[in-house]
Amino acid sequence: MKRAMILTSALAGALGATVWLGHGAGADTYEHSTAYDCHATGSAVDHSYGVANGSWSSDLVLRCNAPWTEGRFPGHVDELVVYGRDGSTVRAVGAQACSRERLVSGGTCGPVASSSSANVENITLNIDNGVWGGYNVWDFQYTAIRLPPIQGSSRSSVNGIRYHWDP
Amino acid sequence: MRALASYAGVAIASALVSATLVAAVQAPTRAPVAASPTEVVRTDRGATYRGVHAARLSALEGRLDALERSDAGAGGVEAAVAEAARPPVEPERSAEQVLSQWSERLGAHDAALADASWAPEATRSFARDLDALSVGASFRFVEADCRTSTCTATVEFEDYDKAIADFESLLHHDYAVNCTRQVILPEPADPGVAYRARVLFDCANLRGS
Repeated sequence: MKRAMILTSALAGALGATVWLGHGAGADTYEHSTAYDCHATGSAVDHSYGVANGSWSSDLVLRCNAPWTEGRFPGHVDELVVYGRDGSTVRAVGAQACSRERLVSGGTCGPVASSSSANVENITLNIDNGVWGGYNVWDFQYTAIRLPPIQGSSRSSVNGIRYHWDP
Repeated sequence: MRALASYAGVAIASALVSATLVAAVQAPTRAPVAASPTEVVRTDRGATYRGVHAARLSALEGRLDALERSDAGAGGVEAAVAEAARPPVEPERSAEQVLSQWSERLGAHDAALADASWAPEATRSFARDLDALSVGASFRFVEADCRTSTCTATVEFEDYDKAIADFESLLHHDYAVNCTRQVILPEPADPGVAYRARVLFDCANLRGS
């Protein structure tokens, strides 16, 4: 248990240091890239440029809170992109936008965006975020990322998430 | 006498400037109360003035501060325009509304006709996926059912607590028929018995509807 907690802390630190790309932008847009607040269910391992699945047999599922659940409310997210690496020759990396209900048990997720080629160093997944709705600040919105287990010597990893919206 | 006239001229000019600023800015905060002609006034900005000018200058500074803080400033106008362009915030739905909408969606699915060109194969596909997903999971697959552009799948958990703990695996799975998926778990009368949950798949993204 203690080991798991240490790993989680180390992971959060590494993600913060390597994946935060800052925000900034043009005259009328706001961009935000982050992998903060990704909670791992599975065998997450710190990576020099992100988080990878360290398991040889099980998927790693990451839940990454949308940044506005921490107090910033975009009008409309027009771009949600996950960057990573597909190290598997058997299974794809998948990511989807999800929303969990606040007042009842349940939730909704959009279609899964999957990597199309196996064992690719850099993948870009463009995610349908229609389930987040226009401006619903009441539920808990997050991005779910599924990393397949190690195949051969390659690990699959996620390096960052890009949110783009008009302020 | 000349000094008095000069004094009066300055005072009038100051008053005009002050009045012009008031009209232009419509400052939301009140100006400081006018001081007596001999009173020394230290303003918020740290300057010290004496007499009639002191009151007016202090008032001007107050209005300048108000202008800087006011939404009527340049940044404030931009922010107001951006705010107006935003979609309105939807009021939060009550739990009853969420459950009611869930029942309506399931009812609409149950009432829809099955599209023979799509529904049978989609049903088999979900059945295969959920059969596989249930291996080693806390639920068992019961049935799948596709109609025009929606499908449902029924799974059975050991009890309600298991359903709450594990329902997200049904949302995050990479189904061969890749649709938007939703699970809502109404509270049962007896949470200790086997609990059947339905997953609703909205495949409008695949069906072009």
